[in-house]
Amino acid sequence: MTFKTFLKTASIAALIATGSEAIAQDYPSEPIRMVVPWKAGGGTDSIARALAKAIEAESDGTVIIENISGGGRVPGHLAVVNASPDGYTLLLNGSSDISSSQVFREMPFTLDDFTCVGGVYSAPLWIVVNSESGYETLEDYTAAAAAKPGELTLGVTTLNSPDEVLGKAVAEKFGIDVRIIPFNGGANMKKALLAGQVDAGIFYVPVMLPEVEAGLAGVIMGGGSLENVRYEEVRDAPTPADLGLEFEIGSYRGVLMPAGVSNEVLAEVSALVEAAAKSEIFAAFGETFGSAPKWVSGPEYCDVIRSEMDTFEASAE
Amino acid sequence: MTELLSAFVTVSSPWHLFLILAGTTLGLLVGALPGLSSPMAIIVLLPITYSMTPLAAFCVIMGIYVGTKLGGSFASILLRTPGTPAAACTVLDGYPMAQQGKASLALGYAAMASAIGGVSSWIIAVAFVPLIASLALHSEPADIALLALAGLTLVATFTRASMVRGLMGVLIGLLIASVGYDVQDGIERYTFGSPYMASGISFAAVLVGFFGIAVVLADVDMVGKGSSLVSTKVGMSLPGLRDLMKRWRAWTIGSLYGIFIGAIPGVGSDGSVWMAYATVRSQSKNPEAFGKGEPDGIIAPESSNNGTTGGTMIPMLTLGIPGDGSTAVMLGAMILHGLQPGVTLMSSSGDFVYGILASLLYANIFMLIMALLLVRVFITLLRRDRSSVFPFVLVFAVIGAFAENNHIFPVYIAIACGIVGYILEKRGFPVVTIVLGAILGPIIEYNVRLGLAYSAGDWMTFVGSWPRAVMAAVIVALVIRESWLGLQRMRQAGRNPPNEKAITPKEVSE
Repeated sequence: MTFKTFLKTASIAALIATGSEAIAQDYPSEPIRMVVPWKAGGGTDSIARALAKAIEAESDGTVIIENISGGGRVPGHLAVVNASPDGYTLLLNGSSDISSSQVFREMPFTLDDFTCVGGVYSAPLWIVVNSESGYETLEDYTAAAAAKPGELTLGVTTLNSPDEVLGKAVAEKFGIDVRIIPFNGGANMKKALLAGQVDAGIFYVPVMLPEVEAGLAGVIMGGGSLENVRYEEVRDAPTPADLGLEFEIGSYRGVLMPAGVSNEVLAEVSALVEAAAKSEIFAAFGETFGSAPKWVSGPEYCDVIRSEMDTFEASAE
Repeated sequence: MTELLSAFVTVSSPWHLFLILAGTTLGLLVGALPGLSSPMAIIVLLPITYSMTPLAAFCVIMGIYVGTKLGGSFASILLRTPGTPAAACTVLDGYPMAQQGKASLALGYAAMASAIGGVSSWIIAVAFVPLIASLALHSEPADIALLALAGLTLVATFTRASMVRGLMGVLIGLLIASVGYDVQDGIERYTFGSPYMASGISFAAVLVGFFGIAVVLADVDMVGKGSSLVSTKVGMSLPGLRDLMKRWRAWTIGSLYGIFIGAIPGVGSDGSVWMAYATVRSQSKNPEAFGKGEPDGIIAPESSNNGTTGGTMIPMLTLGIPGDGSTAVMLGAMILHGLQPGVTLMSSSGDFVYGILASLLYANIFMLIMALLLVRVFITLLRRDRSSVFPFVLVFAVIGAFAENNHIFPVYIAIACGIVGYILEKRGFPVVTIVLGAILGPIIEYNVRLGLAYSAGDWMTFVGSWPRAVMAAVIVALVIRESWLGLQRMRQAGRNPPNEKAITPKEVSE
């Protein structure tokens, strides 16, 4: 971070020194700051860094990733809300992170404080079991749970989270009594699932994908369509729609800007982000990361977030 | 075996060796600067490595990872400000030794112990990959909870001179660690409605506050005088082989703790150093020497700190599970370099996995060589007036608190901890126990509650297997022994108890 900040400072200093003006040049004429409200190294951060690489390749511009983590994600979001709406401060986060925090927590901002640029990478939730458990389908698991009420476990990241909403909806749908165990993050839950310490776990695609491909784990349900996942065998896993549930839950990573962006700026930024999201670099990243990127426009992306908020509100009641 | 040998051939090319050397050197520097950490250095350098092959990139990364481990203790020994969280334990004996004019020897012990810990854990990790992978995978929350609790109990013996103060410190640490969003209940604790507290109090801020800012405040009287610590000899004096062999117990215990605790995801070197220190101290024939510049008190945590480097590799490479902050960033780096960490990494990119292991061994050896050269620079700097050192410590403390989340709020926390730490230390309070509580508290809480979630609320899970029953018995025995010793001392002291103080590095000098 320090090195990039140094670059940024140096380039600004150079601009001032030469007296040249950055205006009236093509976007981006100065470094773009992309705020990620998570620590470096996680899934959202990896997606942001890959997208930044693609934006840089598409535009010859510079993208600086700023991981403003902690503080219940508030500082990271506020840094963008309070930034100038000039197209040089972007937020990259997951749809369910924004929607669930709006419903389950008190946040000093709303979705109206943002302008949606577009969704770049769809990552639905999925329910994964250890292959040695003997559960091959959702019915196997729910039947076992029905036979032994209160004995089977279902791992989630935390309580009051999108994954808990999915777990509860499934349990309610089948009328089963499973113990929901919060793991504080995917890595802990992955370990527990591989060790057979928990019967099923709810992860975001593509966590556990290499293990699924290696035959160590199986996918019994998706929180949404799994059609983009690299591994074909999981693509026809049942979705909430197949169970008659009217929602999709996942973390659609997308780009947002502060509210109040002019139409020209929005058009320029959207065009660049769309080009990057559809670029070969980003597609190649998607292939290694686990599933093909899927682009949706700004208004569609805002709708994804809003419909998730409706789902969580219904669940919270 | 042949794969490993061919990986050594690849990594032995001048380019790869240069990258490892460069990474290790950078790591030593980053580690020595309080507030700068290994994950931070890796993530800053990551974009520069995009144009390299994944293995070349990881040569740099492994160098940084290993180098920061030892670099952190330079600052612990010379400034009593740990450069990294895991180096906090080395302050206990490293700084008193430096005050006795034996700074170069203290650095020598640290460097040798780090190299021994790093190399021996590498050998064990490579030799017993399946065993360690299975240990990493099948350790249950109840086991980890008992291990951490045993560590906390053992460490309570540090403060035998004043158990009350020691326990108070640990409890303050636990309180600090309990702030924030509680994932198991989905509620906020002690956040006072402030969103900035919702993710808890940043540990980096607590550490640079209590150890960076507080130390500068406490040592302000050293400004204006050249440091006497290192007047006798410039450079590092390595301990003799015979002396090291005599201390085999300290580095064996340290290395073993390092590798096994490193392999168990979620505890890491920040915790393992304390457990190693406490075990070696309680095994020692002369526990009273600890905290006053005992070489074993440097060797145990240092060998344990570098010992984790071998341990964390196994879950990272075989399961794609991070053991600490650095390995979490490394997993992200692998994805960005087009690799797929997880159970398939070994079969899909075997060359890369063995290449990482080869570069890890090189890094541990280069670390020792570079430390010998760099230590001169550090000591020369520190011989100068503290007025030219302290401003930098403060600047880096602030950077460290800020960079954890890239946000200003933790900086306020750090300043508050600095002031509180200064006042407590002036009154002879063992500040180190606060940091210890803040390190082990969350590990214990998380694993106790997860263990109970597994057992549907049945506490018997903590004695449910033989290893657990033994560990629980050890904890109970330790508590009884300490209480008994405490009572005896009170009786001996009679009506006029002397004004006992806990052992802190500062006080040893007085």
